[in-house]
Amino acid sequence: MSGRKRTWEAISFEFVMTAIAIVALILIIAPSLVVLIVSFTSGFSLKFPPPGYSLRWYAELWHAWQLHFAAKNSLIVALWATGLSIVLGVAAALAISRSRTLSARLLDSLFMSPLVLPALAFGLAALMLFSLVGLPVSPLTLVIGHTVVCVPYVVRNTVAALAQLEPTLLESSAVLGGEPALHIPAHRAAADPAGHHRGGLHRLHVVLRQCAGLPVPARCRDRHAADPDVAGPRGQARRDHRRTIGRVDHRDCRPRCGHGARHGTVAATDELIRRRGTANSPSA
Amino acid sequence: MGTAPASRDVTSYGMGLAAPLALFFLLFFVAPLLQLFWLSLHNDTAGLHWGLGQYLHFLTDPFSLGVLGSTLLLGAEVTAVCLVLGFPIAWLYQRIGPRLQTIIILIVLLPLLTSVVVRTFAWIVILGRQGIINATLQSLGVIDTPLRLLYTQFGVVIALAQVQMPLMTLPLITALGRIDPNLDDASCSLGAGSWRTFFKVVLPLSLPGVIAGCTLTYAAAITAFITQSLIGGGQMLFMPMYLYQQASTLQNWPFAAAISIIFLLAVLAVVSVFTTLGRLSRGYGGA
Repeated sequence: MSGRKRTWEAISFEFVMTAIAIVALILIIAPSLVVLIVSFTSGFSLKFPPPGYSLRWYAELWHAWQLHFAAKNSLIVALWATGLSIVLGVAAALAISRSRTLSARLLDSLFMSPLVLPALAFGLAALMLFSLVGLPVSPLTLVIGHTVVCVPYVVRNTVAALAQLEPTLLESSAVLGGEPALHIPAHRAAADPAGHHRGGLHRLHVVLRQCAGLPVPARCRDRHAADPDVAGPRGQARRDHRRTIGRVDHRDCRPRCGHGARHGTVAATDELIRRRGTANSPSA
Repeated sequence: MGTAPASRDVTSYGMGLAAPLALFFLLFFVAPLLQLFWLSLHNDTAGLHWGLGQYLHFLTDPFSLGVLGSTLLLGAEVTAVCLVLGFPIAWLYQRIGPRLQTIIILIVLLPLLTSVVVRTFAWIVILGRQGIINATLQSLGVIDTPLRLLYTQFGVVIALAQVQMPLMTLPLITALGRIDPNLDDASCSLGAGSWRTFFKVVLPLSLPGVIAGCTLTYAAAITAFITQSLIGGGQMLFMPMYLYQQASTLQNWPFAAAISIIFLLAVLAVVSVFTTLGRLSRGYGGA
């Protein structure tokens, strides 16, 4: 009885969810589809279904130089605004996402506020300010205005993704990278600025892939397997570390320099899981 | 685990990373707003006499308060529709093959890739008196006289929901993708049915995504000037249009400035409620 009931319940659930999803997808796609179909009309009005089909309006498009000019402007402004929003927004999201301080919350609200202020009001206010400063209306002012309006989308989505990023990934990165960094002689760190740089970039790379919902590529693992540092002197450091992992005070593991993520988060997590596994199993 | 307070230290980035954006916002967002605020503190349109007259005018005028109320209500309705329709899309996305996933993402992103004006005109074609819905219903014999869909609250909510759907669906897809699928199986094997699993396991775990989506959708819906005015016509007045009328048609700049400040504060209050819920749910989801 209960088995049948569960099956019925599962079917009803799947049916309702799929049905709503399909209705929602149709709702999303309908207006764009209508515009697409109406664009092939042979008539002069926005009538649906169109009286006949032709490519005449696309042919007209070829000669509409105002449209070409406008499209070029849109493209340039969009490209600059997107680039600027991503660079500024992702950096800010990294800073505020895991912080519970008052300043982080205030900054979060500040970066979100262009979303809630009517773009119209901001546009008028910005126009008044630009004219006051003497900055003429130009692609530059457009890029600035659009960046302000677009940044919240970048910040909000990056923060939402970072909120669910496993803290252990960053934690283990710091644990494994932060400690061995102490064993590196200063001259080696100074002679290896490229490696220093790569560590930070690599950590960022892993975080960004996590944010975008992408799997962390296997080549990260390969690179760390081939990394001579891991097998070399610092391998010893990691083995030392392995013995102390049970009673590590995490506050002492904060990366003191860019080497903090030298070993990368993926390899680090694998290590951590393996160690915890061996530490916990009685046979090991 | 006992390492929870320490782990926050390790896993946080320096606040310095936020400095470039903070500076940018100070120059190009806060400064214009301060100027707007300064303007709103004047009683006359020439900006010569200081006073709180504009704010008093708004807060004692039933018409203005009504416009504010209906705008906030509109946002709530659009957010609810987006959540009810968007969640199943995100749920379906996690359950199908990669090729269909690409198609769903493409459909969800479609509204973002077409212009708001174009989409809104498409809704006029769909909802109008001789539009697709009315023509279909009439040819099927369901109705005799065309339904009034355009220039109604229903039309505005549906059109806005379509326009803002990506803002709800994308965070939800991210949030659902982070949930361990084993939890679903575990819940079922412990005797919970699909509905119960959904409401007790999936929904609570996806709360960060739900709240992120709601915040984005709500804020975008109430400030969507073009869709509100074109679909709502002259019948319904919402805050952005009210503001535009005061600034552009009546040239009453200080009152328009006061409207924007009041609107901004009202919306920030709603958003900060969402944000607080988000911070609470983060601990819930990570537990």
